[in-house]
Amino acid sequence: MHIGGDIGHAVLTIGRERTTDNLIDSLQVTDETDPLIAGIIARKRIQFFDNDDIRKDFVFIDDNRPIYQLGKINAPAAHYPVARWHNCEITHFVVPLYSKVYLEAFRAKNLFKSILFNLFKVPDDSQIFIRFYLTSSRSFKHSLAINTTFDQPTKDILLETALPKFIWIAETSNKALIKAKMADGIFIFDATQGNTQTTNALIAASYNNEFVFFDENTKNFVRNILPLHSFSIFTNNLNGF
Amino acid sequence: MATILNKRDEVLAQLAADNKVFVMNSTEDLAGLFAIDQHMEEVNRDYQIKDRQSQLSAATVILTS
Repeated sequence: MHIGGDIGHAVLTIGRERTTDNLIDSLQVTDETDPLIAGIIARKRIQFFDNDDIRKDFVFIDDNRPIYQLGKINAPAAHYPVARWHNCEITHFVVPLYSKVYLEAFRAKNLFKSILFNLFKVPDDSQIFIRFYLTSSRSFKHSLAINTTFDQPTKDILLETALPKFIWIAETSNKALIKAKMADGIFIFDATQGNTQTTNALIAASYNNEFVFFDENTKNFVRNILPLHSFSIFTNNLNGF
Repeated sequence: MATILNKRDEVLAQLAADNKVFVMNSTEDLAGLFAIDQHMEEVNRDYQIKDRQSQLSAATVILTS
């Protein structure tokens, strides 16, 4: 039994409102549940913000109601005329993904955070805003190829790197930068990688003047001193991110 | 005859020529990779528990309206 009482109902969620500067400004530091990551963040006094924590309105479709109703994810039936529906909450959800996406969001995002804090020198007292999303490599490369703000050497490497059909992308930024729709770091993961025990899923990462990728020749990760300046974030199918 | 352009290799070769490439097999790097592996082991365990609980709980859901 949940706070919605005995109501058992299913709705479709098909989108969300645009991210505004106000929403970014009001975003609180993320409540990191992973003890290891939380410890590192606390020790380095990092202000860590997660785009997924922004309390956006989502777009709901329900065949009982007019279409495209906006509502919070924790109150999906707040717009219903009958009061007893207002307490409904989401107890389960299904996200349709391509069948070959073996690396789930939970594991992918944790892998990203682990790599960020264990392989890169994250400055103390810094502010990090992260954006994490799934996309196809075609869409990503198309967007990267026409992105004039992306540093050319890193762009050349990424465009000619063999990528799987689907990839997880993590972009690092800060509050000021993200309001200009810019980021200063990028991590690319193989979303079709089934082995999540290790760093196998990491394809390439660029953060804080370092570019890391797995070198097939030496069978080792390689660290390159290659600065990446701020670049426009990926917004292809994520308009209004 | 056609010339195959490979900018990726050119950039990587230039980085190597400038001594800006480091294979990540130093003690510090290996410790970092080991820490990631250990952390991901915990994450995977946590995920499997949540996944199983989610499946068991979802099996009890009945749509009534």
